[in-house]
Amino acid sequence: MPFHTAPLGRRRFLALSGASAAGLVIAGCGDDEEPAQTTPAEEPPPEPMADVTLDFATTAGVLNYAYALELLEAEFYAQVTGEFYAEATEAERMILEQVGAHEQVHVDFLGAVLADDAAQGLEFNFEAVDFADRMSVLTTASTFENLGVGAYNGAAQFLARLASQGDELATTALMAAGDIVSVEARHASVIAAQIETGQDASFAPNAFDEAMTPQQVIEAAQPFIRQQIAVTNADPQGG
Amino acid sequence: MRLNPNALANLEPEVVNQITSRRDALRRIGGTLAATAGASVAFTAAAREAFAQSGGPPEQVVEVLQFALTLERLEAAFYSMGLEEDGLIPGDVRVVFETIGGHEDEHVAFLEEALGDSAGEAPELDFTAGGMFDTFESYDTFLLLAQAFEDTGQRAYRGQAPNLVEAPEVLTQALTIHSVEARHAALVRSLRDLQGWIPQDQPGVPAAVAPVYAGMDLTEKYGVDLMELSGAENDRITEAFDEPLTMEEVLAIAGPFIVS
Repeated sequence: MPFHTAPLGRRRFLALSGASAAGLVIAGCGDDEEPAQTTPAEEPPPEPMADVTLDFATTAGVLNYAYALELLEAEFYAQVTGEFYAEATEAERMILEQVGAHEQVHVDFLGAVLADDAAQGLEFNFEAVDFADRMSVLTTASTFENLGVGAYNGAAQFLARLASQGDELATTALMAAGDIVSVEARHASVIAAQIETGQDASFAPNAFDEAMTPQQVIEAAQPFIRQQIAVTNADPQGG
Repeated sequence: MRLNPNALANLEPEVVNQITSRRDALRRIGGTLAATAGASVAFTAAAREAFAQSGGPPEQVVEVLQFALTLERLEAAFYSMGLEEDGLIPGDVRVVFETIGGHEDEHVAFLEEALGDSAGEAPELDFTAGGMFDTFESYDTFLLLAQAFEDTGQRAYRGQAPNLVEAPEVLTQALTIHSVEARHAALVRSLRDLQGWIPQDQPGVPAAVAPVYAGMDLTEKYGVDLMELSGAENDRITEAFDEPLTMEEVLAIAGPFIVS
């Protein structure tokens, strides 16, 4: 059975083009707020609007989380390889091109799995990156790869809980995430070695990698994403 | 994300005391081990809680952890012996193997602590595999086996993920080791002038090591035909996913190095 035809269950996350989707979720608020005019003198400042809410109680929500991060990476490497910094060595070019190609494969894969549920219209903001500067490019790459490792490691438990509730797509998503996370770790290791020439411990700074919460990951990624991202049902159980 | 620190509250007092005293004992040994022990206490407690919640037999999870411990002991001994061998590892890359070996030591300590009495004795090892490899006489052979052990280790942890679905806390801990094995593998590969990721063909890998890379040349993943979907080269597609090895496949690879 083609994977993308597996039932996705209730579609509780929202497409990015909020107006065309079921509606917007306001981060941190219910959707039944009191009308403001009842207490005009104490009207609070408006909550920031979330353009997209990732629901970690759904497999599609978790997959869109991964999809957004892979899109971010793929777009970054597309810009890097579109016009390399001047002193890029042949080895660095090969590494960055291959890493970028892997991220695009991840995007293609997750997009196919999500099919109609894939988040649309995400836009990225790389104003903080100087693409002409080697260290800016490599440290940003390192940040994104390590973020990917932490994100996948931390997302697994949400997929495992969905899988143990009988969600077959979650089982498959968990296995695929497991196949992808180690590739992100390989990227992180190789890029660290470009920065530090491989003769120190930065390729694997700790014996145990992080398993980051969705909140930690989105906080780190948000400056690079134009839309406002929110997460829901994203507290690790018992954590 | 840390494991539930309140998990201890749900345990019987004597269990808590047992865990706490073991933690205290380890804390006296040194900073690194103390950090490991702290994680292990949460790990052990969370694992117990997970077992209680799932109602399933903990044997499966114990078996996974014992399997992981066997591999980690193999790796830890390999680097320890390699680092002790005068003139084997060039001075400028000693830090790499000290780092990797130190991590494997921490993984061993962590798994031994988590398994307690179920950890068993460390196996007797033969890194020549009965004379097949001149492991500690040739840096090239040492590097080849380091690559094989790390890539195997990564694929082995990945392969156990299905057996940990019902124990998400244990799964998470295993994943935080899994990605470190991948980091090790990528750097060792780069020392052999290879890419950090695994393409379709494995140049310079003898037949005896080939099973480490079995089944990694797939371009269809979970029903998605990426050859058709993606314009990427075949190697980029296969490199983008690290497929699992089963316990049986891993033990067949590790077997020649394990005497008993």
